[in-house]
Amino acid sequence: MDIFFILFALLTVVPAFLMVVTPNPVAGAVFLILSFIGMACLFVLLEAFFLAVLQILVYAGAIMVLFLFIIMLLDVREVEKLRPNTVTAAAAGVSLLLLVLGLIAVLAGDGLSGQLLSALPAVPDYPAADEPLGLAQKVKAYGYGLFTKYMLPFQLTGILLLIAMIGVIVLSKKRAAEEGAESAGADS
Amino acid sequence: MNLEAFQKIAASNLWGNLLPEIYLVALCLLLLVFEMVFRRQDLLLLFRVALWGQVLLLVLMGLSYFGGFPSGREELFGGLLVQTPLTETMRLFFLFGSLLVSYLGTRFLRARNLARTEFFAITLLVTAALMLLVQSNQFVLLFVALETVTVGFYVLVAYARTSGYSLEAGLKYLIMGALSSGLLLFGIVLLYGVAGSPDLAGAVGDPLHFPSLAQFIAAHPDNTLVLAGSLLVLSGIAFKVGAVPFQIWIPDVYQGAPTPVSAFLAVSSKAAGIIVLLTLVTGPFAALSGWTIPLISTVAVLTILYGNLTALPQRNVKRIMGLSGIAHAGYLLMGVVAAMTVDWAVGAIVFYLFTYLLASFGVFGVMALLSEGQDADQELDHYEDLAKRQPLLAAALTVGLASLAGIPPLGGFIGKLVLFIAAFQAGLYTLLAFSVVGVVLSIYYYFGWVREAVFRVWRSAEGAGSATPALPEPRSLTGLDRTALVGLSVLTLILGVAPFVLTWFLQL
Amino acid sequence: MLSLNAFLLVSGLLFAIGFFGVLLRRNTLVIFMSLELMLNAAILALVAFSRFNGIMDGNLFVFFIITVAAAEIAVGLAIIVALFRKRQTVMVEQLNSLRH
Repeated sequence: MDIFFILFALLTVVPAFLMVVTPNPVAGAVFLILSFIGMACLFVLLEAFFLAVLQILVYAGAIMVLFLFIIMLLDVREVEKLRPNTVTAAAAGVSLLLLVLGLIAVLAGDGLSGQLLSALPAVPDYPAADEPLGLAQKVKAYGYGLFTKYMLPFQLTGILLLIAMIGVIVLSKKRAAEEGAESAGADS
Repeated sequence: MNLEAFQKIAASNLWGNLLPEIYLVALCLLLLVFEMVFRRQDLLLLFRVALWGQVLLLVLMGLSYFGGFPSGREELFGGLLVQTPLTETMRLFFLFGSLLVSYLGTRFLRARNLARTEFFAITLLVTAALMLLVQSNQFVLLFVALETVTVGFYVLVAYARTSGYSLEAGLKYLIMGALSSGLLLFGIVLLYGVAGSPDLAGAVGDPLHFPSLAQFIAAHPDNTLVLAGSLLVLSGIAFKVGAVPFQIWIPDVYQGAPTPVSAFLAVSSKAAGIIVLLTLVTGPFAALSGWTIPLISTVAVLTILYGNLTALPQRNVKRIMGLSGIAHAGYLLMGVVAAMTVDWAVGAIVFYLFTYLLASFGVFGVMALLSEGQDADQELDHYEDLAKRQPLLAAALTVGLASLAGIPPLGGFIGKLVLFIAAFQAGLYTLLAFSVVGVVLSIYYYFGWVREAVFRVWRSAEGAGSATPALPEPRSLTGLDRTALVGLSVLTLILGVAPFVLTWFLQL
Repeated sequence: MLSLNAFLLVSGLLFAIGFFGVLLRRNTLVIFMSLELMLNAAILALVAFSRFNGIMDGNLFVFFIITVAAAEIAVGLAIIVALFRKRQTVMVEQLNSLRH
């Protein structure tokens, strides 16, 4: 188990770091896809199989492909300067500080570190009868949770997607009136 | 699977209590269908449907209060949602704000070749999400509602896509908003993890639920992860409110966004942030008051000073509104600190928000009416001699700015007064002193604006020819414009001279 | 010897790398990808906490986060493309027309 964890953790963290430092955005997007795949592997170690599949399908599959599309569509020729100026140096210092503080906070742990992953009981297929929202791994258990307790946020995500849909159309689609005005201008 | 257990969970999903939100979403869908059916974007028709639809909702909500304004606290949807008199008042507040944004939006869209239906549609959806945001009692609903609002605002800020300013503001808001969402989410996750941990005594079964989390935090106020998590959550909310040091996006975004959207951001978004902050610091984080009170007090002082000092040398009116809005957020943060010890300060915050809404929409309304063509580049010089050209606009502007500054006979004065009294009762003397300094500073730049608009009239006779080109003359005001501006000014005045409405709010 | 702290360490590292990227980079597309990395760090911590605490809510929360991220990215990329058409740049330091 440990060797797999180290492997997957490296697969997650190293490409993520490369994504941040590589000047080429296309390479960055591919590194990020690698990192997401590593994270899906970590989900498998945590026995969240459904989420691992979702991570690959939605994140690595749909979202990052959209990113790659846009990066290639825009075909940015400008070379990004990575030369750090004072602001960047200060910013890097702050984020490094955050990193160190975060790690200290996590590892100090406040008694959270007790259980080992191998010592945990296996995740059941379905939740126990007395605890309907206990951890379970079958897709059906996710469905019951989403459609009972989380029905309201679930509906709200529908609204969110509607806003995103309308928004993308507003921002990207040329209006008929605009085209009409342009062709009228060409005629005269 | 125990289906009865799930039925029991679903039994508290009472959709009837969310009728205003459902109505707004249905109205939005109706607008979208209208466009498809009629195949042309008749602005007047769309506007009438959106406006009268919202007025109807306001009337219906008003009628429902004949049975008594909701009192007490009711948890719904398995604890995801809580309805109190405060949330009911905020529903009315957001509906009122959305009505005014729809009105300003019509004026804005008329002069521009932009998509029309979608503006009203997104405004309505964002309003519904804002209503859910202030009612949320659990982090999942809070996060989803907050993101719905934020994504809606990304679109609205970048709405004038023919203008580079608007798009640039949209991109800045996008990056800042996404960063704050990331911080907020990581904070939520840390709290979720630590509060549900079986290794700690008193772990709770539903750590995302505010009352359960409050119970856990009361038992472990010194836990490192609790501190880190709550700090990250508060930072995420501070971004939305625009508190120092998370205020950097505000001037640029307010300047670049279409004027109606700047007003929407300034009033509704800020109000939602303040109410969420209030819910958090008096709910789940109540046991952390040992460090949240000094922290938020310091942030409030810095916010008030930053907003007022940076607004002093400004010439661009939209930046002035943005920066002075930061200062108003500072006063409201002081109210939040006061509300942690003095109960009735909640009413003071709500009253202040209402006076801020009336005064801000008055000022933004004048700005929208004056800026037919150029939106982002409105300078103070453009207001020269407004009183001679458009007496009504100048009067509405004067009332609005005076109320924002807190000049006595107006609503803004009473709003500041009750907030300061609350702070005094809570013993926040240093904070109070800085606020008074802030108010004095704000009178200076608000008065500078009024002077440009009104008092230059008598001087211009001396023939000091103005070099700056005035804005194009605004089109003649319609009856609706007059009604809206006069109505806002009169309401501001009423709240100032007869704050008996106050007692009603203070029963919260 | 695999415990919760190991997963939190990975998650904290990813969050810090993402934050670092947002501050360091000038290309808005890369900044946006770094923001996604921060959201993913939160998701990883969420799943790890759910596993070790035996609670389902965290795993359900992941659905909402992914949906929110997808919507945010769709709108964000639309804004970036529209801005690129207008200004022919995606670099942050060139987006400075909004001043005074």
